[in-house]
Amino acid sequence: MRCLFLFISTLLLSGCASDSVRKSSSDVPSVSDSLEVENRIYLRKLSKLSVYGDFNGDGKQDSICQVTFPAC
Amino acid sequence: MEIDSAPDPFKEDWDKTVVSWYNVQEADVYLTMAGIHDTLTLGSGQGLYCLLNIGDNNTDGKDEIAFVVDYCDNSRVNDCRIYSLCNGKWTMLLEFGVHEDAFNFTSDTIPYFSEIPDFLVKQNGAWVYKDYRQDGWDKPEDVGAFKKISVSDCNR
Repeated sequence: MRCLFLFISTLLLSGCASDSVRKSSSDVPSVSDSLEVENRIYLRKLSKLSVYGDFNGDGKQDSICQVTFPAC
Repeated sequence: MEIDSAPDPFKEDWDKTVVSWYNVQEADVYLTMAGIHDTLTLGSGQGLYCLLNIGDNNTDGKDEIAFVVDYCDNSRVNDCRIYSLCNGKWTMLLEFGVHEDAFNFTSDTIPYFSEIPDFLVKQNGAWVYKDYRQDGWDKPEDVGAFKKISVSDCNR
């Protein structure tokens, strides 16, 4: 009787354990998942435009450049 | 530190990825010129669609610039602004509407726009423009016609 009880208990415990492992591997996002999402962002080089001319009337060539800065 | 790369709007979702990325950066577009302390701040955006020297239209001895800012918005209607240096400060002389379809392209690389097709072009040696926002004309023949750029100088 005691052996039967131990056998059934072992069966139940192993079932719970395998179920919990299955849930953790499929439902909880892992670190590698989040890295994959981040890596899917394609970065492109921003175009930096510039233009030349006499913009201050001193008879010399000036250059104006466009820059994009993040907030300080 | 200057932003030199960003999510590609041709490959990424505009709202979820591109706009939110720029919002996190709080990116601002600036125009700088060596020797001039007044930096022209153009607000939050990706950059410029174009930056043109349109010559000296008001005959004040200085060239004017024209540009269209590539804002992080969901509108295809935008503005071209014409600026000049007035006593060392950037001053807007003219603003008119453009449609961003003018900057569409089919090549693999982004082309350099030396004019704004259909909106700001050079005809017979003079720059002319069309205002996308204009909704009234004096004469029927004026509808859709280019207008000569007429801008005052700093002292007028």
